[in-house]
Amino acid sequence: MSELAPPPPGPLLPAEDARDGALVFVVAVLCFIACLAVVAALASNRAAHGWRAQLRDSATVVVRPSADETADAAAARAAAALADVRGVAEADALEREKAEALLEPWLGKNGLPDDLAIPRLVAVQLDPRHPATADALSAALVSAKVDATVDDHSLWLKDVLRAAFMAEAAALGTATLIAAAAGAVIAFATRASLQARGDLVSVLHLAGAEDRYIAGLFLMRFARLAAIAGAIGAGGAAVVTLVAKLVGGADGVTPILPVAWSDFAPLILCPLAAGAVAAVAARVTALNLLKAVT
Amino acid sequence: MAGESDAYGPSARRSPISVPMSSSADELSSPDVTAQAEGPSPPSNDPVAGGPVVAFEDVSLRYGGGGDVLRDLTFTLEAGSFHFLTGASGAGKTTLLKLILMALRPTQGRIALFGRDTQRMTRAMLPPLRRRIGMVFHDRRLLDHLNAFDNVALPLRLAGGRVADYQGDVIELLGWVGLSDKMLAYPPELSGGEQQRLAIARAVVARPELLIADEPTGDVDHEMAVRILRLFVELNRLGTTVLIATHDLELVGRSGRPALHIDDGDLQLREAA
Repeated sequence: MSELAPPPPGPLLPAEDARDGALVFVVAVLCFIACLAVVAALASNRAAHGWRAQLRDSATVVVRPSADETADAAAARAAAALADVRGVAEADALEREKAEALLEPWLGKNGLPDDLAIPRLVAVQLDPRHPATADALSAALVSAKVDATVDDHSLWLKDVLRAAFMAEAAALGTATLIAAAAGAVIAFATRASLQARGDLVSVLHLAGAEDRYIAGLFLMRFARLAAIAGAIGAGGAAVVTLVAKLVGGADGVTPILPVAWSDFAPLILCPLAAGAVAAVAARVTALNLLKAVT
Repeated sequence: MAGESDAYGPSARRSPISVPMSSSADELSSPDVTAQAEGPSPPSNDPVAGGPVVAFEDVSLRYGGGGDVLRDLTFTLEAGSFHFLTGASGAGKTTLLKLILMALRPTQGRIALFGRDTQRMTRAMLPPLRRRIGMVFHDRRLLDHLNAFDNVALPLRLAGGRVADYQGDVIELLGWVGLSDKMLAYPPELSGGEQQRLAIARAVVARPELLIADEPTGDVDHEMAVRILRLFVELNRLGTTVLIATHDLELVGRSGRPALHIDDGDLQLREAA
């Protein structure tokens, strides 16, 4: 054995390529968008659950005062009747000021005439474990001889949940499409790389390398590049998400799409997912192209 | 690469080639002439021990719509034989070698390698067969991003060998072709002759059963040419079937080996003088 021991074997596929930078940039941008889409899907899901809980656990009763009773008195009687219903945690009659505040977006801030009959509202908090039904609430109001309408939010709940589902599906669909686009980009890059390295492929072939071995070289190369790009994209998305969470504030993104710390966890998987997509795309592309090499 | 080492079998573990350092072409021993320009063994799909390593039967090849580059070639190379392949430039020597390496498919006719009909081979059957062949390309086809050591070790690496197992053989072979001090150099840093020697070392390092070489001495001086030829002779002595394309007729004449001569698409066997 000679003292001039050689260094470890060099990579059969050259480690550097002039196109690597552009490829990493494109895949990183795709991963960045995909990560934001995933975070948006998770936040949509969380928001939908929150809205659903809020709407399902409460009801609103609109009280119409009769001629021989003030609105405040009717609302107070309604609240008292509702409070005794099984499945109701709390029933509060809203004062005129609060009712006017609810109407302010439509009627302005200039105040309403005192003689304008404003319906009084009773906010009902239901027992989350055994919520009272709208029928039970209506029956109690009838028994108390209060002219009122019960809104258990079921109509809104369906719309809100449908909207939240659409937002979530759109976000996940976007992420899936982006993954497919990343796969197509990698396939294109593999094709270009394989054609550019035709001399190497030919030598390996004639030296007895099998297709799967050569495809494996390209697989490893592009999986590594995609994983790096995935890490860069996920890092960028993490920064944006962090800013949205910390800086969003009451008027920012956070109240609409509440971001939790757990939403950052899927971003860690981005490099792995990008590497896996690239590995599949590169292997399939390489094997298809190698069929034409004798 | 699991399983690929089987294709190399014991050859990958043979002892390093030992070649006398003499540079005299006259010392090349007389060969057993086994080529048959006529009456080939019919190609079959079953490997036949001791049968022809290469068998062409009425093989023709043309590129595109042109005329036949090779026409109705019929010959066999028996195991352990040593032949030169001669002919004018453009006669089809390289084309014939590519047919043997299965880098080209014949327009007509049948080719058998190691007793197997190549027409009946699936794509998956080619790599193990190619690993039994060492090839010195006319244009060398070295990998510029690998150093000299890695270039020579390529066939062993593809066969699944470990560096620790083969580095001694590779270093010794590099020394024999005069490239000990260039082990870590990259092909673009080597002269044409050095690149040629590197390509030869790569072709023989795995002790192939069949060695085909395309003008292997074209870029080296006479002394190195004779030395390389001795390496081929030694390989042949150890059982490797050798076919060398050259137009150095002087070297052919002094070697005492038979030549397959291509002229106008036809093949003739020229016995040793």
